[in-house]
Amino acid sequence: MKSKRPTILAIEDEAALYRVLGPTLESHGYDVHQAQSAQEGLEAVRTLNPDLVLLDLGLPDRDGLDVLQNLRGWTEVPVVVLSARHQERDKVLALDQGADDYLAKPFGVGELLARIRVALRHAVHRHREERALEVGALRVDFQNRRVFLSGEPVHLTPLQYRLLEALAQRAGSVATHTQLLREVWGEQQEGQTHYLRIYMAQLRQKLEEDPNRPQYLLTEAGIGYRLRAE
Amino acid sequence: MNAPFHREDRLVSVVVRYLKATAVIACCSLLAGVLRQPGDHAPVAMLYLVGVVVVALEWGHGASAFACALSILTYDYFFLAPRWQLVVRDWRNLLIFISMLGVTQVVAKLMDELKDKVREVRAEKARSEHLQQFAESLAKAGTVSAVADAALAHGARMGAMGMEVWVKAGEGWEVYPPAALPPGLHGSAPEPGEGPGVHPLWNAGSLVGVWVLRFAAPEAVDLALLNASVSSLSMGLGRALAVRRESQSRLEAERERLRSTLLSSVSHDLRTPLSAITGAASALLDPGTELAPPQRVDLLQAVLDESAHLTHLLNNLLDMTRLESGAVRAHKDWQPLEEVVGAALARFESGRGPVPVEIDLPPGLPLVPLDPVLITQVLVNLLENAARHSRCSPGLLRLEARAEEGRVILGLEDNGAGIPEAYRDKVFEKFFQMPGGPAVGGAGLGLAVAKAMILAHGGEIWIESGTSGGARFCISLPLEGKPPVLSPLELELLQ
Repeated sequence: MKSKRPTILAIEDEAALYRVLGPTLESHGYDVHQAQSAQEGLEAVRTLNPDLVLLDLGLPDRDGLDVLQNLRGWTEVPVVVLSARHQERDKVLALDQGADDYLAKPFGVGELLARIRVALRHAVHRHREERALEVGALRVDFQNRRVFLSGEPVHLTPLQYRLLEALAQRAGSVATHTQLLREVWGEQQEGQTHYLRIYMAQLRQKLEEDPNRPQYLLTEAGIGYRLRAE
Repeated sequence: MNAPFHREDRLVSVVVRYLKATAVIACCSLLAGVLRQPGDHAPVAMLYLVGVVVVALEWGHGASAFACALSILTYDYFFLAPRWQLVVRDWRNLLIFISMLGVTQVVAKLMDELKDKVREVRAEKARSEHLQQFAESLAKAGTVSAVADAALAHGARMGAMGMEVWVKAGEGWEVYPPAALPPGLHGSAPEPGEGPGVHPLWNAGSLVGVWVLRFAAPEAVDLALLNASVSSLSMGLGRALAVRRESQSRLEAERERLRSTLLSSVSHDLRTPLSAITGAASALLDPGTELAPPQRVDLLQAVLDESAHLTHLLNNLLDMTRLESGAVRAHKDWQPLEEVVGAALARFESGRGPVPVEIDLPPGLPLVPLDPVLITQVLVNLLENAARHSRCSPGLLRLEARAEEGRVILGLEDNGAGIPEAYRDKVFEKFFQMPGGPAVGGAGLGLAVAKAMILAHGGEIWIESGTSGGARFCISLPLEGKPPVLSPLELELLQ
């Protein structure tokens, strides 16, 4: 019988990092387990059936992307990858291959908890249609396909709405350029990031008080975009 | 030099010369016949004298000897009694005549010698002018390849149809012009004796090169000029190689200097935050130290702040190393500036809370081809630098952009003390710290990294005076190519 506390498996070989993760996550109501290698990790996912996996991309025995590919072959467990700096390509690859979000080392505990919360929430709602999203002054009504800023309706063209919807449905998690292009424009347009930029600029114009300092539509350089969730 | 001769031509020209000599003597005879007075031999003799001298002047020694003989015969036949016969009655006149002609022969010979001498002197002059030109171009040549170019030009002037200059470089040989042979270092150069026109170049006792020249008519080559040129080239090449060696060792010394500066700078800048962290943490753990909760919080905050410092320093070091090893390429994509500005501000403020930055990005700014990861880093580094130097007078930072023909210019203005003109280039050097400025962490690499990243984009970075006494850091990014445009269908969907 599964305990009420969500289980997190940290596939992480750095003892120093686990030293912090363990107690912190435990104190926030998670059961934390550690695996110190890819091999151990894959085994642990099978036996523990965790609610979320923290996967370090720099594991000693196997490439983290390999592990992710393997996992995604048979489970939809939310995965947040931990990566070093300057590996934007790896992060994008991981996200496109099914990771839910990423964290760049060194990261603060606040960021970690936020990403975990969001990933768990999306997992729960994956098979259940969300009705609306509210963050700050922004409200996105999925059922009626309407958007409100501080209660005032905002007019968006169909493509603009689809883009906002794609971001809103995974609010709090990052969406890569590829994912957004595929979901909004279709498979054939995967390489056309300029569409994305132009439309994101339009969304910022319409929804942000200061498009240069976005509150909702955050840019992750080299990776994609993220809609703030809280 | 000289046109090639054939035996036939030679014979023909000799015959022509002698025929011309005959014509002159015939003229003299006619004139003499017209002008003479009976018994008066002097004018006749003078005329023949003039004729022989003219022949000597024009056609040389041999022809004038022939003219001499011819003159004697015609004089005897036509003018000496008895006329119309070769017999002579009064030998004295004939003797005088002959001796006068003898004098002309001496004169002719001297004239021949003089002409030869003049020709020789002219050739000498031309040769030394040639050499002078070569020496000047060698003196101007600063590098080995410039020396080789001068040699190739000079060889062409000497009439060579093809040539190479082989230069000794370490164990192997370089060849100029590079297109002459497959590229790369060659194992061995041609040896003298392997063919005509292979000239080894010796300088200071060692073989520095080989000059290979191919002439269409090797016999016609001015050997004196060639040998003098070989010596000049040897010296010039020796000098250029010495210059090259010297600049290589200077580079090496510079590299060493940077390496040791890096070590001392890094060690200092790493130790400073680390000692703060150690101090704070050990104080928190020390059972003997009594700390009130706000003090504990403050120490812990110090640990976090100094860690951020360290992170920033390490990031800069890593960036600099990667940039220098050429591992960084700008992956350009057409981006709106507001995205990188937004990302940079978010990162800048994530450690320190909101900072007053005024942003002015006009709405009509075009998309700019840039690498978002690199440019975000550049902006973060500039913001960090501006904040650090504005600490004394915490003021507004102002970030603005404008589009120009072919490029976009970004400017970040701070409210600090400004940067004097003398330092405006130096601040972008690695490890440079402004004398008298605040002690800064980051090892003075932030601006060097920013500059390298901008250069990787083909852009420029410079400093101007800000409007309120501070400094304005300016970046220009080239607008190359055409930004992608939306198709009319898509534009329609925008309505």
